[in-house]
Amino acid sequence: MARFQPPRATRDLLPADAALRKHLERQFAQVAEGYGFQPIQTPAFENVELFSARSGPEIKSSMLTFHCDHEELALRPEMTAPVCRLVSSGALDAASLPHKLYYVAPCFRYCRPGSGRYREFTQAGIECVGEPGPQADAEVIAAACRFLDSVGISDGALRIGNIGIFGQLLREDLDAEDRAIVIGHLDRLMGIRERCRALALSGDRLLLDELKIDRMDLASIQVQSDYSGAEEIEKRQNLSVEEFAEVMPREADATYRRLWDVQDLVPEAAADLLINVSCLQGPLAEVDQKARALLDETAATGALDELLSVCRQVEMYGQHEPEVVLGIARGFTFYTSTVFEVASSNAHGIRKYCGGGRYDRLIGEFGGPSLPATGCAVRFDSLVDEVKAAGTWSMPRPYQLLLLAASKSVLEQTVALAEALRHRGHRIGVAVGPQTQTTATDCETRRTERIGLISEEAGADVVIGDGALSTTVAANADAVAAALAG
Amino acid sequence: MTQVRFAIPKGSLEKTAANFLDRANMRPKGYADGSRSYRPELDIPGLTVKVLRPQEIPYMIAAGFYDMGISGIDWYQESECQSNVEDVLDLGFGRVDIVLAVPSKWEDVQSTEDLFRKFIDSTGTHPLRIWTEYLNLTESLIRRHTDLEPSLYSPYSRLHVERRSSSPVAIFHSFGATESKPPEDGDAIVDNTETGRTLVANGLKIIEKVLPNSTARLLVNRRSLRNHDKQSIIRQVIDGLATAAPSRREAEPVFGHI
Repeated sequence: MARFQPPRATRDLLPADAALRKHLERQFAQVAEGYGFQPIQTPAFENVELFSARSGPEIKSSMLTFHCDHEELALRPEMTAPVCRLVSSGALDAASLPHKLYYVAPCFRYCRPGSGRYREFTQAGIECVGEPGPQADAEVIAAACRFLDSVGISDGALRIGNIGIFGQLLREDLDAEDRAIVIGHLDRLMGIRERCRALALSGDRLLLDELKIDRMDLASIQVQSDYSGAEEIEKRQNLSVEEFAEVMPREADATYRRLWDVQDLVPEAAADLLINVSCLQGPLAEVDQKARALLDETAATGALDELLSVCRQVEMYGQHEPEVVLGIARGFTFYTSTVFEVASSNAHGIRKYCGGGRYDRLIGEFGGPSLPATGCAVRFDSLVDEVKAAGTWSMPRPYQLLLLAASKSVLEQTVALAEALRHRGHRIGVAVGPQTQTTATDCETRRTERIGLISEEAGADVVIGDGALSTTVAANADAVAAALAG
Repeated sequence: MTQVRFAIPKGSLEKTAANFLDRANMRPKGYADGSRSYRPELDIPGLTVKVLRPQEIPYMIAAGFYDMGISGIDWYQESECQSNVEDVLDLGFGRVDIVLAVPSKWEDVQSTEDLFRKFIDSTGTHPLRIWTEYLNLTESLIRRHTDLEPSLYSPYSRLHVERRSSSPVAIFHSFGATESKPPEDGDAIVDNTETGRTLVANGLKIIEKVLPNSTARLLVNRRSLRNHDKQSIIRQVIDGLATAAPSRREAEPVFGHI
């Protein structure tokens, strides 16, 4: 018989890993429920159109798809679209708005195997539908931060932005597609800036190689847009790592400004403003002051006010001091105003634990009523890895107490005691043998926190021991439970 | 003992491939070190290494002469061997764009549609002549935009005789310096370029990226992947190379919030 392996780019989780996941899932549920979010479950697969309708047909190549009953189906790659479908369907009681929903759900993608990426992954998220104000945004952000705190993620920095600012700075007659293109460029510029900053600190080889590929791409944009100026990439060869990290963000800015100009996307003056605004980041008061100076008398001040009020609300929760990062330009086709992420920077760049924001148009686009919504999702798998690497969690042994019946004659009594204790929620094992505590086998010792011995000599008592200490208690559930608690 | 045969590239990819293999701690002795050896040695039992031209590697793997190899995605696609050969790992180096370019002074041609329109419905004296090393990529480009079968000029397999027709589009098999053909010998080229500088220097402009961001890939014969005796060696090479492969975070699609 052939021996079978798990499918490519998937994995089995052994008890130690699965238990940690369960623990984190429970933790997530507990935090979400603390804010009044309720669980939902949707099918693991959906019609392909649910995902391709908004993300375009290209997304199909990133999903696992199959045909069934002449329908094309996809294993879900994310949970927000199913949630929007559910809300749009009207199945939830409209009288009970807002709908506050949470999920911890396996999702699937088609990706090349390697570098720790799996085709099955987990998204944990919360969505609040029907609340327009900054308060709802702040609550989502606070819940996400509380969860990360509760599992010991301490290096995550909360970064909040508002994508509406860019929306207001672009030419009014620019169509949605071109808007998304420019915002995509800004996102890329931001990514280059951040990774160059990380490179300057770490000199990491892999990061440098990755950036070199990006730089070559910039060089080719420069050639095609006929750029000639101070930041011409081909004229700068053989840079040291420090020089590289310093010049590349400038080269990138110059490249995209040229491209915007040639393709008639963003006029010169607006380009200045876009780039200057996207560079702003720091504490609330500081960024506010600088941003007001830049955005004064533009249509973007409304979005800036909204950002401030979300940040102030977040501060009330007293968890994370938010950093205002105006350059967060993620998912423009998705979000409408507030965007945020919790990320840590290390030698390899930025590592995002969590991301989210407000998406006031999405449910309407799925054919539902026009409802404001805000939410976020956690990269559950990286979080699991992180907690595992931190070593702050260790798997509990299977049994809290292993009851050893010294002989068959006390077995009945031992089993009855074990059942009574399990009924109270304890994890109890039973074994028979002529052992004493000291002769319990290694295997048995490894499976339990403590060992209880029931022997005829001891009468009806249990001798409970862990290592050197041992106590004798009456063999009834109350007494043993008390001993376990103590 | 079963031997797994691994082909690595000679020529333009050689230096960057050697750097990459260095980083993965898998550089074979005698590769790209001036020793001119075609059979460098790598210290993995059961693995033999041979240096081949990147153009040859995909179809040599497809034919089963090699189990795995490193070549560009451009030659993988050109060789049309997807059903026999799997593109297992993006190694990230050797990035080029495969582009369609025409003389830059042609102001009436800004897109591929313009190019075909200029020639096909006109009463010109010659067909649209496209020079390229990528015969198949070019033919499928033509078929995507028109319903024409191009004639083909190549010394091989009597193609210039058998594929000669009065088609208004002709593909000319280029053996190098493709950018030099237009304007007198050709009207357009499909060629690889890092930044497009050479094209610009030769009076050409890019009107379409036929295959953007082609990078070096690890290619593996699908049958070898399922072969019980070869699997563990192949896996060892894949895992080794994966340690040096960039993760290409930006290319990852964003699903929902993250």
